[in-house]
Amino acid sequence: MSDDIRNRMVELLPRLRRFGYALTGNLDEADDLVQETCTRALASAAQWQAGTRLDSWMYRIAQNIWFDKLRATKVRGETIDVDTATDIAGSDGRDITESHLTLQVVANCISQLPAEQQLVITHVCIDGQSYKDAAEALGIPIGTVMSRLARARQALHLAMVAGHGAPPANSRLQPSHLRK
Amino acid sequence: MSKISDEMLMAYSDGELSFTDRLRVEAYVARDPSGALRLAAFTATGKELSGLFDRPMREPVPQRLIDAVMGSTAQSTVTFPAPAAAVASAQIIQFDHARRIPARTLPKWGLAAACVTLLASAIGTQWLFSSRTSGTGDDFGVTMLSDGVRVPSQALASVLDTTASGQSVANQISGMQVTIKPVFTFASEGQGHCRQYEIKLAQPTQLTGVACRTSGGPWHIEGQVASAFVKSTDGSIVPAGKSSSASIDALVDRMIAGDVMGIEEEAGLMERGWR
Repeated sequence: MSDDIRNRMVELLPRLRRFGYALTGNLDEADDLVQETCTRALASAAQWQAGTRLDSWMYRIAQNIWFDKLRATKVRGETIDVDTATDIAGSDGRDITESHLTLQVVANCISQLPAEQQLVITHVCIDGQSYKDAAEALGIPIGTVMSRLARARQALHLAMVAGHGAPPANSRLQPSHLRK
Repeated sequence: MSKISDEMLMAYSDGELSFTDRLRVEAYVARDPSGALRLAAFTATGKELSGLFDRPMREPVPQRLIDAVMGSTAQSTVTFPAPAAAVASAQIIQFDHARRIPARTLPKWGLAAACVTLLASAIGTQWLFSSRTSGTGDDFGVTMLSDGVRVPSQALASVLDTTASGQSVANQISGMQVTIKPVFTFASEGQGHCRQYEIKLAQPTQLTGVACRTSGGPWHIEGQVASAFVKSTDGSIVPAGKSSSASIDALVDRMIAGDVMGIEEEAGLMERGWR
């Protein structure tokens, strides 16, 4: 495999970690997710088409891994305790702040969005790309980016207004499209 | 006047609308309280999300993730896109900073240029040429980067063209703060005039490279390394992990003819358009 794709993956690592952080709300879990994502991406690098966006492709891989994990968690009937699942305590206690709580709530909301909405919100709101760039990255029309993004943000806003606090543990890690 | 769509309100909150469309939205929101409410959902989520998850962008990437991508022998050194055959065999020569860099051009952390080299990076080449060649253009046998962070192709080149050594130029690119600083200028054997530069990406990550241009020609990147730095307990910025020899210094050592230029000499070159 060319070193080029590895180098580009390394360049993507900070953004992949940020994406993982937004999905999991937890840096340790984000790093596990990113590591798994890289391993899987390298194993299937032949499936990535040169000339298409590496970042979007890897985001999708990360999503799939995360959704699989959530599904497995659901099947085993496990619930994840919010306090131990998050790095709320931090190593030095600095993290116990309002913004950290916000982060938990927002990450939780994001992880409940449908996959396609997660991707547009990541490209636009978290990566800071323009609608046009996001459309190009995702290979969809700009109008689709805008309608998905609008729905995602309305859902996010509702969820955040409704409960500015941790939702019940049994629904916490449940993306909406997995719920029956 | 027709009702303004959610998408348009959102585009307004994201600064994606033209001037006339902004005026339309503002007139509508001023007139219709429900419009202001709908708009609030987008301004609030935009604000909540912006920067909220940016902690990984300010911290070095854990070594285990780099190892997962590069394999555990990740101590690769430097990209030599241009005269690959000639330079790739370069011996790492310890560079004596004191010998040729005037103290005034040395940034405080410049001595830490003997930094840990995390990966070979071709990002600068892509930045430099990304608008001249779209998609998978191939100036130096390097595939163009086609992911999110895109620096205007002229950004690095224009800084190299006109900015004195030691001065930083900040750019906001795709929501990311990127600072470019020429470090020093020198004449080379055969490659024209060269400048070592530094590009700071997300806080602890830095690219160091050398670009050269012959009279009237464009800038070419001769080599570039990426490094990560961390803040130590006493507040100083130190290289992450153990130090390795600075391959860029070795590259400069091979290329340089004479001494590093003084500021006046450099300013003269800029005035003459690097001729």
